[in-house]
Amino acid sequence: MKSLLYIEDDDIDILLLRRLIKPLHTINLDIVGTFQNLRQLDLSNYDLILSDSNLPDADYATLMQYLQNTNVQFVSGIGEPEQNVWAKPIDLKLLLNRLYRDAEPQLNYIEELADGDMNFKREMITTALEILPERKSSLQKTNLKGSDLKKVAHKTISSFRVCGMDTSVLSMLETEAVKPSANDELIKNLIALVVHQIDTGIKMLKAALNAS
Amino acid sequence: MLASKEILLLEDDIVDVMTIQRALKQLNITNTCIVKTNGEEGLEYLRNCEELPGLIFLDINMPKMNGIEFLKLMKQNDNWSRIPVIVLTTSNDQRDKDETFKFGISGYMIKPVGYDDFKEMLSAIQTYWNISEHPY
Repeated sequence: MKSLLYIEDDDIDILLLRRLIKPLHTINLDIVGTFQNLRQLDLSNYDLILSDSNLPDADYATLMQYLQNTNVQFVSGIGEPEQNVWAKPIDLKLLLNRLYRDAEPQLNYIEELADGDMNFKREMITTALEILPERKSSLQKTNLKGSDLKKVAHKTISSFRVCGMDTSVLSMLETEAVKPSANDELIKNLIALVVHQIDTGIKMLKAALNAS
Repeated sequence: MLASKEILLLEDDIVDVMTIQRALKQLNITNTCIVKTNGEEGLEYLRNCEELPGLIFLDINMPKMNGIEFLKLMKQNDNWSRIPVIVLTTSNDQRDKDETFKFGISGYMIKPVGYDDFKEMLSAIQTYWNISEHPY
């Protein structure tokens, strides 16, 4: 689960974000509408903080200073790309990328599995390096939909788990793929993210293999 | 008790096969682990083996014949229907649980995220089947 905090006092903006992340069952959303309430929270619990640039009791400068050591993304009515401020309503692709793009492999699982056996570690990484491109190519098949897509996503989860990669996006994809009213745009974004994660994973696993 | 009976593993993902075999080895589970990669191969093995396996670890999502189709057919056979089957999957789908329990599985295990937890799970299964009487 990813934890997201939305600092926002406008009910419509809150409604829009709730609607946007409703299909993303791996996001836990908290909302706070005033600076006073914001100060009560432990901000280290959040993977990402989306903050309006103005609250009834705090301006942009105050918020920026208070949130400077967190993973914050400011949003405003019109957005200011040159200052990296997103426009409302929040774009799904931007949000997904920000939350899930950096799913780098953690080799703890393989290390524990190998238990000091370097040959086994190399064998496992080599196998993962054979499988991941196959999974990527399966996911990129343009005619893949519904239960077929779900199956590919499901199978990819195993490889991700062993490589210590975040399986949240695949899990979302698995669920969304078989919904009667599946959101094609969301599916497209999720597949693009998984493909990016696989590419990153392959790069890091190759580096780990060379280093071992 | 499971004693030295074979364990039949039905799993098509090579990474999962390597993980399970490795965990069995680290837990000093010396039963021979026979690997088949889909339900058809599993049924073929049951038809031709000299001695039936003591336990089947079953994945649900497999090509050709999936785990649920395999269960349906094996449970119709009087000789095979008593073999304990433990579903080992990443699927938390309630429909998969409903379907597989309907066919009398002995357990439904969702593979944990961490390897230590996974090993602990296999160890618990081993302990249970060493304590429990075996159906044949």
